[in-house]
Amino acid sequence: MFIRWIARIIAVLNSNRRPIEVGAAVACAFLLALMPSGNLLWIILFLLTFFLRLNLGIEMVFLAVFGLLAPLVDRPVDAVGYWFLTIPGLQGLFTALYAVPLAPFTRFNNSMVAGGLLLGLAAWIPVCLLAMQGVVLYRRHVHPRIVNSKLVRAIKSSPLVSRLSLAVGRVRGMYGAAGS
Amino acid sequence: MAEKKLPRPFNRPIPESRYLRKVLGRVYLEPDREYLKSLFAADEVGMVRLVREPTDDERKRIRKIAKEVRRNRGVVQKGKLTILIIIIAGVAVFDLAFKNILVTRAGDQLLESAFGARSNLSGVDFRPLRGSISFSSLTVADKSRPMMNLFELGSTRMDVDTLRLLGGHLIITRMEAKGIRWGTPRKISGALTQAPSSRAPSSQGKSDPTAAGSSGGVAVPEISSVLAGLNIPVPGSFDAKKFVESHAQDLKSVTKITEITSRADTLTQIWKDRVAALASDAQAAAGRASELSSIDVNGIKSLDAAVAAYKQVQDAGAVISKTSTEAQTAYDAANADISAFAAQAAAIPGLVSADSRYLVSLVPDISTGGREILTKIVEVYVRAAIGSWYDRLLQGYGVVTRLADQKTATEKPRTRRLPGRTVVFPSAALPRFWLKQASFDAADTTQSLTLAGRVLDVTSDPDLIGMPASFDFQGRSGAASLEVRGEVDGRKDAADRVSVAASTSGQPLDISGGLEGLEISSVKGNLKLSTGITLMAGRGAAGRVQMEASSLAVTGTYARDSFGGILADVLQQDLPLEAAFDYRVAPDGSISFPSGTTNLDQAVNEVLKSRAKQITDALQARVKTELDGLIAAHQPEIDAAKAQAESVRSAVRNQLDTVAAAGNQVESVQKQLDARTAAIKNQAQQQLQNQLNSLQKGVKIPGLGQ
Repeated sequence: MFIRWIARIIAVLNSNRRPIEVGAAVACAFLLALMPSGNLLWIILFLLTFFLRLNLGIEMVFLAVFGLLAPLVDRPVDAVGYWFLTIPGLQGLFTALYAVPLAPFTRFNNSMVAGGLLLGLAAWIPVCLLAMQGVVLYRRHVHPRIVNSKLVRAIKSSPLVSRLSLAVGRVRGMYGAAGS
Repeated sequence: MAEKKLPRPFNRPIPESRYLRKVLGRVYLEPDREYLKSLFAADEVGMVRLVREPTDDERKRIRKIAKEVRRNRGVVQKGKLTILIIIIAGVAVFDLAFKNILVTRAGDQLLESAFGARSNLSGVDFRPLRGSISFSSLTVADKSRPMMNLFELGSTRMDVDTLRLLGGHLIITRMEAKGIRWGTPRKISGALTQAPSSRAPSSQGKSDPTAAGSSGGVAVPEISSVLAGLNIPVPGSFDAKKFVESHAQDLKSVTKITEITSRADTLTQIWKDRVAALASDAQAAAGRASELSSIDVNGIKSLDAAVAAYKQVQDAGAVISKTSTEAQTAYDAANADISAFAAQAAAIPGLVSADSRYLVSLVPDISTGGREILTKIVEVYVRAAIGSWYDRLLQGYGVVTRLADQKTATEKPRTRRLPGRTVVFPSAALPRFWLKQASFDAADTTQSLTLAGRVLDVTSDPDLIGMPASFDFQGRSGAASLEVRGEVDGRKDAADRVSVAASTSGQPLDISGGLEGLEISSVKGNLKLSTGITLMAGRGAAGRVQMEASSLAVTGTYARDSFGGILADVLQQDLPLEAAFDYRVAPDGSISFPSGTTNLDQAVNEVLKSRAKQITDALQARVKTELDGLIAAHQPEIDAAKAQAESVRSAVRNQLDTVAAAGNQVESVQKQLDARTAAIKNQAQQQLQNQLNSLQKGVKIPGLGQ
């Protein structure tokens, strides 16, 4: 399973998929990791990603990674969320929003939820652009070097890598050929 | 073998601009881009087409690229979205098909958690878009009596705010129920298999009155046992003599009589001796006086004889005077003793009266006893009614409490991340459950029974809506009617948790047991009852009961002069009997009656008191007679003491008279002596003057006249 996940990520990076699919997946993972789960807003955002053209494998991996790191930024997230929720000019909006059916289930009035959403949205485009740029750079410079390196060639001959290669081939079959 | 056609968009010429945007723009791997550029090129009219025929391998590669190009189109995965829509539609269809079952289960769970007993909801029809829920019947078992229903509803309809329901708030704006009934029997036990264990001990630990109320019946004690506790004397069995004897040590007249007779004996003894001594002195004085009678006053010729007689008289006078003084002193002392004795004797009638009043006061007031009897009879029924109502109130309050408990269920704490701070927007806050208005009615034409009621503002968070739940209920069966109003306040700062006021009128009163001890077989009439009860936070409950019994008819074999006869007269008079009791229910369920008033005093004044007065007068007369007899037994002693005192007085008086007579005699002699002495003196002076004159005639004395 793990090999399959790795293979999928490698396949995506080496395939003709749009870099924005990877960038959006990373950005969404960052947004979801900043927000506490277990509320309707998180669930909606998470389900939304299932219907968008972004790479779920990358999203899951980065969600796990960012999830481990998220507690480090809890305090600023809480501070930003509380500041946002207590802006006097927005009280009327929030009060009306709270009266909307289902809105209380989103727990938008929780400082962690609001702060995570706010920071995640603000960071979405930069994170997405950074991830896209990383994919482009990888495909342009790293991938050819890796493929043509002696080390990789030697590794490719090992049984594990041959299995990995087979898995990548299957995934590529799913996602399309990634060139030679 | 025919070559396969290339896939779209490579199978036909396309404009270069479109090719660059829609095809080449969607190929991100540089080798593939270079490969496509080598295979496709724009012609002179700007259409991109194949520059050479691809090999089979190239065709495969072109097909893969075409597939990837198609995949890189758009931002939404239409296939997954379609699957989602199908799933949602399936869920919606499932919900529409099974929504009523789901609502039935949810409703049963909600009611079972609220009432702690089995609930059966049937015929549910949930219309989410219309916002209505209706059901054909609902039964909720009584937690304390599993084989009985706490209540039963017939056809019922509720209007629910569906939008608020999506927000997690069950707001029932209106509820109408028909065919409500209480206490109907069940065929299957209504006990939950996993009943909340925390509440079981408290319900079991209730005291008898409440427990009796909860079981639907209170054991009415025999009236004879009620009478036994009142200690009311029955004329036939009243022993006045024993009654007086038992209180003899407390009677002041008897003590005084004993004291007086004892004092009289002492005085008699003292004065016997003093009178004897006085008599001796008086005799001596009289003897001295008698001696003076032997003096021949006219025979005294000389001054010496006169002086000697005078001395004898003076000695006798001194003795008599001394004796007289002693006699007078003794007389005065005797008079003082006798007066004191007489005064003490004169106080005896007053003491007898006081003792009589005291004894009469010890005879119980039968009129008060009669009131107490009736009060105790009523009290039994009040205890039964209050116990039952108290139990119902606790049940009702328990429902509200459990609703509120559901509100306060706390969120699970998160372990790794900060929980954050929840900003409350109060204007938008709503309770999780709010039954704004519910009305119910029931009618049974066969029994001419009509019931109607209303419940307002039952909620899981009374603090949020800022008002208590309230209810009112009216019932009528024939001439009898019942009206109940009340409030249940679950707010944190509420001093009174539950307050209920109930009143009935035209209620038939039928007491056909427990009065056999008075030979009364039944008492029938009309009863009007109004009561109020307030359940205070942590301090039990308090309230007041007012009862009015009228048109009472008593049957039985009681004798007119028996207590049963008196009670029958009291009950059957035109004046309605009224009673009002303040009562308190302690937190442990025990009931006490701190105060009570009744017009039974007036009723008793009319009938019972006059009858009781006769009995009391008879008892008092018998007590007085008994006391008079007791006094009469001592009367001879008092009379004898009086006679002795009088005899002392007359004896002393006689002695005093004797001494006085002796004194008179001495005085008479002294007067005679004085007269005789004066005569002798005059005679002597005359003779002396004559002799002097005769001497003057014969002898001339120089210096003398003449």
